[in-house]
Amino acid sequence: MGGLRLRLDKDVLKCEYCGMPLTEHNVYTREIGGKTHYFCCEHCADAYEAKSR
Amino acid sequence: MKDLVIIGWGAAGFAALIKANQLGFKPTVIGYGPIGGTCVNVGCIPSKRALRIGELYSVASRVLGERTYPDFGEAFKDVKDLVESLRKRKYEDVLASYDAEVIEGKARFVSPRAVKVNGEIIEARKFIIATGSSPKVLEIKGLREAGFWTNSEALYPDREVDSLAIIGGRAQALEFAQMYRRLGVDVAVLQRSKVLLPDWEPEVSLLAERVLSDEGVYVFTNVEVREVRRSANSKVIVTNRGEIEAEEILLATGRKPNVDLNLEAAGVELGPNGGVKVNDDLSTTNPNVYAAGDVLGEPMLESLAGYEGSIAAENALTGSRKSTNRRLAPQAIFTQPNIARVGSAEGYEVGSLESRVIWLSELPKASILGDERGLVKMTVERETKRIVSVQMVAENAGDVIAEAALAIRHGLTIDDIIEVVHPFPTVAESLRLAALSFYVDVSRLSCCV
Repeated sequence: MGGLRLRLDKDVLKCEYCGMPLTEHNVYTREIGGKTHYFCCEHCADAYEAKSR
Repeated sequence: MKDLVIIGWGAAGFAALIKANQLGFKPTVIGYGPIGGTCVNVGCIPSKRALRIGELYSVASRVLGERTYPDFGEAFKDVKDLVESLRKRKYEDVLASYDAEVIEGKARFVSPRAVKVNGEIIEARKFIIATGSSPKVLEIKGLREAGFWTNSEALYPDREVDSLAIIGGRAQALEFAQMYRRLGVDVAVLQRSKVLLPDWEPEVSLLAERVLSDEGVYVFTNVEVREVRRSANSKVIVTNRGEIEAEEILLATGRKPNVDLNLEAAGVELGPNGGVKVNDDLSTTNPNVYAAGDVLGEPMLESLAGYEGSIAAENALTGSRKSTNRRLAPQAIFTQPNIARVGSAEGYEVGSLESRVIWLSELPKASILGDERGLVKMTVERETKRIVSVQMVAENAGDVIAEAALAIRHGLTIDDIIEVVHPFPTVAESLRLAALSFYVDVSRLSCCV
């Protein structure tokens, strides 16, 4: 019997443009190329989308 | 020849049977496994009871100021007792009170108008397929050899475990994570997507993770499970981000429709989601065969299955061609706080919708309950202000979402919600606050505005 043994890196969700950590208070998503992308605001989403074009 | 054969005796099958009797028909019901199907035996009833036990102890812990847990074995005995009681009262006794021919066995189609069960051929004018769903088992190297639980084993555990690693991050995973954590078990959730509940609003996804983390559940997202192997007293899950060792593994990666019925012989086709393909009136590619419930694929919901079973029977027996809309079915995850949603923005043009989020810290009832974690996100048509979808995290959101379901079903606007006096203080009031937030800053409102 035993407890959990964790040897895993935890992934922190960050804005895909500026790298800011995301919480329920600042998360913003946009579908780009059929995939959901995570940002901290609309401006970062716009910038990401413009850069990826 | 029979008038109607219903294959399956879960929620959809029972609803079809009751509707058939109400219309004056005696159906033949063919089923196998415990009567009542998934919901009462290994679904909603036992899982919600186990969650309820955890809720009571969570409240007690808060009152006492120290973490206290129910006895593991006693908790699941309580769950089993309730299941046996409800199975008898809501299925066995109900079945006895209706006029039906009941056959225990596995049915398979042998032609467009006949099935074979226990070696006997049964012909009928109409059929309803209501065979439900089973746990979807992912092909992961070493998983079958190491052994794992599905929801069935996790609701009737053969032993007490100290630790549980849950693979999956959707509704079922969240409920079991909180359930087992509140039984004193160390729990980790391994989710392949970047967030839990990836097809929900992102605010809901991230709050769901916080709710679990607050209770001590270890949540790992963006994790790809590569291999499972046994060690001395535990099981090791190897992922792209490292390893985790737990006493048991729960596979909560969804369910698959039960379609092993030789459907080709009946000319019944499957849809892209692996479920039986149906028209809006629940008829299949064979006009004499209807289907209802989980066998259609996602969303797999008890309430939807019952609703569809009844409609399928009416359409099959009267030709009424009543239509259904699966997108309007509300969904609830019975963690504490509940997570619930209804409606969808799918199909709307980008820019034609607008959304608002209100936080439960603005809701007096949340403060009274002592838990201000939660939100309501409402999405409406920009032009008409008709409500398109509502998602919420709140105590009893599973109940409150019914108001939003009614609003969406009848094309109501935020003004319709605002004009209804909501009882104070309640969680239901949060929907009115969400509607008001399209016009005003709700943080600057006094109570009951």
